Formats: sequence, structure tokens, C-alpha cells
Amino acid sequence: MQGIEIFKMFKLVLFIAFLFSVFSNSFASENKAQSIVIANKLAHQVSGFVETKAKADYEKELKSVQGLLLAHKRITDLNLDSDKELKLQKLIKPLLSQAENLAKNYQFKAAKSTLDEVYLAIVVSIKSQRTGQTLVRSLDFATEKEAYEYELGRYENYKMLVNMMIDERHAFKRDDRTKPFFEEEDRYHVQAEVLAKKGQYGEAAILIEKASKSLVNLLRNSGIYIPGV
Amino acid sequence: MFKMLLAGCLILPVFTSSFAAEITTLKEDKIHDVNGPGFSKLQEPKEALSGFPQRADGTINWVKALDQKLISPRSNKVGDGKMTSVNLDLILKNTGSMPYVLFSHKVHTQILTCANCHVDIFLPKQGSNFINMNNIMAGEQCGVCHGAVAFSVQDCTQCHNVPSDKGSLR
Repeated sequence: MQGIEIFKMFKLVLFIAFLFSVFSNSFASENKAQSIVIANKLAHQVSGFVETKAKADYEKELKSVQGLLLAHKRITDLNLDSDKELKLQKLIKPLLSQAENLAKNYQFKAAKSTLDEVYLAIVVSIKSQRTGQTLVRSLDFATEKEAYEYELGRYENYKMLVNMMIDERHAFKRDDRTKPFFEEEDRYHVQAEVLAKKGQYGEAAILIEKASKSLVNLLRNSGIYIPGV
Repeated sequence: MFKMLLAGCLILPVFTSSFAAEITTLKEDKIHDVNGPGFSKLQEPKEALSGFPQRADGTINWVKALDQKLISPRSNKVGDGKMTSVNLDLILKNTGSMPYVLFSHKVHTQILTCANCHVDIFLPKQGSNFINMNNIMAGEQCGVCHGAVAFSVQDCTQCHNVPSDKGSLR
């Protein structure tokens, strides 16, 4: 269908170019040839753009479908509900094959529409299993180094906030009152970096959290509301 | 009643300022071609959104706008898809000394479709989305919308609203 549409568009542009050259004041063959060349280029650009966009939309949808399918599998595994997984697979398998075949034939628009049906089926199934639930989530750090880097990011964020409050908002200054907080956070930060360099990321993460906490205390002591403990 | 059809994420690029107290004009949004022949025919976002409920920070309160039926979100550009809201809450615990974050899928999926966030912004996989404030403030993760078209990150308690039961800091 996509190919036919593009071909139609190509023919239309050529036809317009032809009419233009026939009815224009200049009947010189040179002008006609130029018009056709321009029309040809234009048609190729238009068809290229349409096809690229349709393909990108299809690929994005496919990625979403694949992600949600994995999520669906995890949920049914967790709920020990293999029936739901089988039921969904039975429903979407022919649709997925259909979408794949359409995409192979460059009919990306139709392929995406088929994937939309698959997508909706997965979402509806997930919804039926998850509705009304409240799940508690923690991050899965692959290594202690990853956990340290995550905490370091939080520390840097607080540091940025403190600097912004001093330099841009002039909310407080580096003075005798704030000095102990800065010294404390700096001490923890330096110690954390030393440990991280030695590869002791677990201990380094705890120290960098303490450095963050010093900055939170500094902000609170300076009258800035930061919720939490 | 003025009714606006909102195409999910499509409206996102309209405003660019990070703490959008003022709605950016089409001329200033660095998206539209001001010299284009159709530019004068475009409606200014400020005009389209006038009368919409606002939050204290000046951003549109989309949840209220939806309640008041001022918007009818679409699942895609042409509006032939179906909106499917999912009532699933997540409590995110890696918040340091801050209260935990309560993320409501219901609130978000009434306005956006799943594909707006999954899988390009967030993986639908437990423990794999390393959300942090630096990314959010850089316009990534939650910051794709929050701080752009949805409420800004200046009010911590909008998201960090579940008291934590931390004995330790983490």
C-alpha cells in the first residue's frame, strides 16, 4: 500500500510538471526537460521522506512492543500465571508475523497499524494484572562502583544547589556559620574519593552519602526547606 | 467550553524554558520557522492555553485541565488510537535522605500513552531506571516533561511525598 501511494505521488508530480511545461509560455524543449528533472528529484525526495518516517515510526513501535512483552513475561512469571502469557502469545503471534511480513514488503504504515493492535493487547493484559497495585521499587546496582557513582551524582546535585543558592540567589554566604558544614562535607568527599581510587566503593558510597547529608544540613540551617530525614 | 485536543507528547517542544513560569511564544521557541508562509496562521500557545488551570509556578495543571474536560488527550497524532490508563502506583526508594517518590501511572496514562515513556525514556523493567535529579534538570527522564510543560522540580514535595522509614541514610 505504501509503495502504491509513493508511486501515485511520483506520477502526480510528473503529471504536474508535464502540464506546467505544456501550458507555460515557454515551449522550449530545454525547459520541459528541466521541469521533468526537477519534478523527478522532488518526487524522489517526497517518497524518500514518507518512507523514512513510516519506517522510523514502525521501528519505534516495535521497540515499545518488545519492551512491554518482556515486562508482561516478568509479570506473569511473578504471578505464576502462565495462562495469561499463553493467551496473549496466541493472540499476538499471528499479528506479529503479519507486521513482520508487511515491513519486509516496505509497507511500514500498515505494519505499524498491526503493531498498534499488538501493543494494545499487551497493555490491556498488563493492566488486568496490575490494576490497583502499589509496588515498591529499588534500583539494582550491578556493582558497588555503580552504587557509588549514583550517590556521587546525588552529592554533585546538592553541591550544585548550594552553589546556586550562594552565587545566583544570594540566599546565604560562605561565612563562619556555614564554614563547619563545608568543612564536614569536604572531609567526607575527600575520604570517599580516596577510597574509591582504591576500589573500596562500598565504603566510599557511605561517605559520599554523608557528604550529601552535610550539604542538606547546610541548606536547612540556611532556611531552605529540604524535606526528608 | 473551549476544548483542546492534545496530542500526547506532541505539545512538548512548544515550550523551552526550564522553569516555565511564562509560556514561550512561537517566535521564541526556536522550533517554528518565523519566515515560513504559514507562520502567521499558527495559534500562540498562550492563547490556546488561556483559561487553563495553573499551578503556583505558572505551569499548566494538566490533571485539573483533564478533570475539567478542557483537554481530550489522544494516543496518537490522528486520534484513531485508544487511550488506556493503568492504575499502578510505584514507590521509588533510592532517594537518599529525601522522602520516597510516589509515581502514579494512572495520572500519567490519562494524559500520555505508554509509548510516550516506554521504552525510550524508561525501561519497563524493575530496578533498571537510574533516575537522578541531575538528569531531570538536564531535561532527561522525568525532566522531558517536568520543568518543560509539566510542573517544575522546584517543589520537592510534589514527587517526594512518601515518608521514608529509613534507619540509615540510604
